[in-house]
Amino acid sequence: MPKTWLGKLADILRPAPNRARRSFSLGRRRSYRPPGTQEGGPAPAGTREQPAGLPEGPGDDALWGETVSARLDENLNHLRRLFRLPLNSDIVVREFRVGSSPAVRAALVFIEGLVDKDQLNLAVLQPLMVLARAGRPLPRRRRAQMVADLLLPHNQVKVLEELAPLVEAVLAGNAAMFLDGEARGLVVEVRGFKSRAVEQPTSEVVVRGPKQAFTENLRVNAAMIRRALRCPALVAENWKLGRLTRTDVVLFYVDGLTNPDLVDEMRRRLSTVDTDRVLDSGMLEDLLEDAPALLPTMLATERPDRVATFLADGHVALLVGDSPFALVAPMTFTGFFHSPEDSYLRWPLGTALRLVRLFGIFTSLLLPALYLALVNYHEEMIPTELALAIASAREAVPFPSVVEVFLLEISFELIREAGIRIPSVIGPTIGIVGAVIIGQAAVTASLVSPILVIIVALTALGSFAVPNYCAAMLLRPYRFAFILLAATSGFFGIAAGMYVIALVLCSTKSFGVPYMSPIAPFRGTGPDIVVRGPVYKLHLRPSFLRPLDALAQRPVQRRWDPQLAGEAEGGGGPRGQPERPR
Amino acid sequence: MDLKRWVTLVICAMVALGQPGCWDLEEINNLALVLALGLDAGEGEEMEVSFQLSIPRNLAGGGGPPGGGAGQGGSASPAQQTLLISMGAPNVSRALERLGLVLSRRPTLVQNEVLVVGEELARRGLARHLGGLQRLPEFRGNVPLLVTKGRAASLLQIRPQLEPRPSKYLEDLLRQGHHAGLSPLVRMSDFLSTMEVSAVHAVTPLVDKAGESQARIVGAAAFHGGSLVGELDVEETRWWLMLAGQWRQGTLTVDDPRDPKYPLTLMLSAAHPRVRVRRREGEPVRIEVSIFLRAEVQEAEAPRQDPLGPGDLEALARGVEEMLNRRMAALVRRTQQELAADIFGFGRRVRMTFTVRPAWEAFDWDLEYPRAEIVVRNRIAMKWVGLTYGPPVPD
Repeated sequence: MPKTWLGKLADILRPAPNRARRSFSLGRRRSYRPPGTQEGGPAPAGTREQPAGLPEGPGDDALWGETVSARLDENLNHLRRLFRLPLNSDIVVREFRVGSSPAVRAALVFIEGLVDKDQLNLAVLQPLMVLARAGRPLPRRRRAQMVADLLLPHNQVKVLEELAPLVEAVLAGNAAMFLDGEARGLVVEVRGFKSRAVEQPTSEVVVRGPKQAFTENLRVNAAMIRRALRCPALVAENWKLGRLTRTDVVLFYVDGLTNPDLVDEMRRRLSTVDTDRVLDSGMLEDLLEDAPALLPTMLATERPDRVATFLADGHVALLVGDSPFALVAPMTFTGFFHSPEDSYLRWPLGTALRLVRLFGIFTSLLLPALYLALVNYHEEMIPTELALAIASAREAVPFPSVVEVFLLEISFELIREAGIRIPSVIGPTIGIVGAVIIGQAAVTASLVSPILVIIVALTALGSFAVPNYCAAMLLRPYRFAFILLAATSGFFGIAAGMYVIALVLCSTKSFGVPYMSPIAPFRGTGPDIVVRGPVYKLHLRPSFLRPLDALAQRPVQRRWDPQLAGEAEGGGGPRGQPERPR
Repeated sequence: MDLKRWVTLVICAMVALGQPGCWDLEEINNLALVLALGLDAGEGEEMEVSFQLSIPRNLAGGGGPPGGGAGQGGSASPAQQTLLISMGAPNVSRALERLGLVLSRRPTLVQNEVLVVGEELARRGLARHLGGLQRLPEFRGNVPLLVTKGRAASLLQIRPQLEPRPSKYLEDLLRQGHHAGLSPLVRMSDFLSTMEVSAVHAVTPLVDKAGESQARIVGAAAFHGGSLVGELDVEETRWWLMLAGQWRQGTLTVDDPRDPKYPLTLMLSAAHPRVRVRRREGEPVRIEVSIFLRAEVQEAEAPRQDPLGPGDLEALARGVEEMLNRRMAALVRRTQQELAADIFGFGRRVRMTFTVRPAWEAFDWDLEYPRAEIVVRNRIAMKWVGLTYGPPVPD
C-alpha cells in the first residue's frame, strides 16, 4: 500500500536502529586486578605502534619492519632517500669517526632547529671523537652497546634495531647515531627546541591559586602534572596518533584508583583514531567524545592543578602533542561552572561565586528571550512604571522588538569576533568604541531602545562569567534559539525550550557517565554541586566515576578541634572501603 | 540520510512554532494601556465608562526620542501624559468594543491601576456591571476600588503634583491611607466575593475631588451587596477599621479626658479584635467584640506640673477607652438601624457557630443583624510616651 505523506515523514524522522552492541556505561566496580595479570590491565607502558592492517601514510614508505643495516653507507643512502636529501635543508647528516682503536666510522642524523646543539657537541660528539681517543677497541658485535654503556655520558640513550623508530625519533627532535659494522642504531635524547615559557593561563585566570598554565611542550606539561601528583601509581601511557603528525598523546590515570573500565574505554577509543593529523586537543576531542551533545563532554583545561585534581578524583586525562590544552574525561555539567578558585577560597565565598556563575549562565541564555516574551506576550507581568518606560522608549524605534533584539545581538557577536582579531594595541579602544559609543549612537538615532542595550550588555557579561570557554561559546546559538522560541510562543516557548534542553542534557552520557551527575541521578557524595562545602566535608570521591577507592580523606578531619574530638574517636572507616552498591 | 533527517526536523520545528505561535504577539506599543477605569451612571440603565489611557510618547525618560537638550521639559507637566475617553455602554466589554472605533491601538486592561465608581452608580447597584468585568481575562483582581462623590470621570481628570498620573496617585493615596488608618483598602476580588457571600458586606473608600490637583478621602462608603446604602465620615471610618481588624497603625487625636479643652494625640496600633458569638434559639445573637490597642502618647498639651507618670497614663487610658466604646457602639447602632448591613464581618463569625450549611442558609443574618446585641469593649495599654516624660519646665 503506498505510503501517505505522514508515513514518509515518519520514515525520515525515525532514528536508525542501534545495531552496535550495548553502549558503554561505567557500571559497578569490578574487582581490582593489578596490571600484567592475564585478565588484567595494560601491557607495560611504552610506545604504541600503529595497529597492523591500516594503510600506510606518506611518511611510511617501505619503512615498517626494516632493520638497521650493518653497513653505514647503506643506512645513510637509505636515509638520504627517505628524507629527500639534499632538497631538505634542515636535516643534517654528520659523519665522523669514533676515536677508538681502530677508529670506527659513524654518522649522526638530526634535524637542525629541534636539537640542542650544545648538548650534541659536548655530550655526544666530544666524548666520542675526542675523549675516546685513548679508548679500547670496539668489537663488532657489541659496538653499539659499548658505546652506549661506556662512551656516551648522556642521560638518555636507547639502542634500537628497527629503522622506523629511529626515523621517528629524529623527527621528534632526537639524534640518531649509526655505527659502521653494527646492525643497530642509537637514539640520543637531545631535544632542545624553543617553546613558549610557562605563563599565566589565558582563559582560566584565578586570583588565589597557582597561575601556571600548560605550554606547547609535551614533556614540560607532563612534568607539571607529575609535580602536582607525586605518586608512583600515576601512569602516563604514550600513544602516537596521526599519520602525518605522529602526535604524542599521553594518557594519564592513577593506577589503583581510576576505574579500569574507564581506562580501557579510553584506550579503545584512542586505538580507533586513524587520521592524518592531530594538531590540537580540540581535534582529538571531536574524535573521542560521545555523540555530539549540546555541551562539551570532555573538559579542555589549561591548568595543571585542575588536571591533577581531576586525576585524584578518578578521571583520566590526555595531553595531546604540543597543545596547551589538556583533555579530561569524563566530564559532567558541574565541571563547567566550577572554577578552580572555588576550592582555593573559603567555602562560603566559593558557594557565592558559584551562585553568581549560575545566575550568569541563566542570564546569558534567557535574558533577551525573557524580555521579548514579556514585551510581546505578557505585558501584564511588567510593573506599570517599567511598562510605561519601555513603551515610551520604544515609541521612536521603527523595528518590532524581535528585529531589535536580533540586530543588537548580532552586532554584539560581530564586535566580539572583531575584538579577537584586532591588533592588541588598539584592541581595548575598539572595545570601548564598539560597545559604548556605537550603542549610545544607536540609541540616540532611535534604532534601538536603551533598555535593550542594557539587556544585551548584561547578557554578554553573563556569558563571560562562565569559566569554561567552550561552554560559553556554545551558549550563543542556544540563546538565539530561545529568542526565536520567545518571539513565537512567549513564556510557553521558553518553558518548552528549557524542557527540551533538560531532557537532552539528562540523556547525554560522557564516557558512560550521565552528564548531569551528580545532580541527576543524585548521589550524595559531598557538598560540591552548587553549594560548596568545606574541604573537610568532601571526603568521598564522586561516585559517578566508580573509583576503586571511594574515600579521599579521613571522614573526620580536624581532629585537633575539641568539638570534633568525640567524633574523631569513633569516626572514620577503614581506607579502601568499597562504595555501597546502588 | 542524516542530513535529510535533520533538515526535516528543523522544518517541522519551524512550522510547529510558526503556525500556532505568534497569534497574540502584540508589541507593547500597539497596546493602549488603560491605567484607570471609571464607572458612572449613564442614561437609563446604561453606564458611562471612562478609560484613562497612557500616552507613552510624552513620558519623560532618559535618551529616547531626540529633542533639544535644554528645551525639552524634564518634568511631566508640559505634555499630557494621559488621555481620558468616556463612552456610554451597558457594560465594560461593550465599552471596550466601542473604544476600538476611535482608538488607534488595542485597549487592554492588564495594567489597570484603579477602579473608580461614581456615587450615583453605586447607589443604583454595581452587581450587574461588575460581574461581567470579572469574566475578562485581562481583569486584575488586585485593583483597588473606590467610590467618589460626584462623577468618576471628573475625578480622573485631576493633575496630581507628586505622582505622574492620577491612577497612580489614587492607588497610592488609598494604600498609604490604609497604612495610616484613615481609609479601608478593598481590592476588586474581595469586593466581588462580598457580593457573592451573603451576610458580609463591603466598605470602600469614599473620595472627593478637592481642587484641580488633589483628591481627598472623605470617609467610607458602606454597601449592602452591590448597592451603596450609606456613607461613613472620616471618624466613623476609623472606628470601622478598628472593629474590622484593618487598623494598622495611625494617630488619633481626641479630647484629653482630663481636660477636654486640650487635644491628646495617640499613636495606636491595634491587635486583631476578638469576636465571641453567642447564639441561642429564640434569643437575639450576642456578639462581644474586644479590641486591644497599644497607645503611645504623642502630644499631651494639657498643662500639668509633673511629668506623666504611670497613674496619669492609667487614667488617660481609661478615659480614652470609655470614649472609644461609646463612639464605636454608636457606629454599630447606626449600621444596625440605619444601614441594616453588617459591614464589620461579624456574619462570618456567626456562620462559624453553625454546624451544617442548610441551617446557616435557613438563618437569615441580614434580618437578624439589626436585632443582634453587640457589645464593644476596648482595652488600651498606654505605657509609652515617646522620648520625654513631660513638657519643658522652666527653672
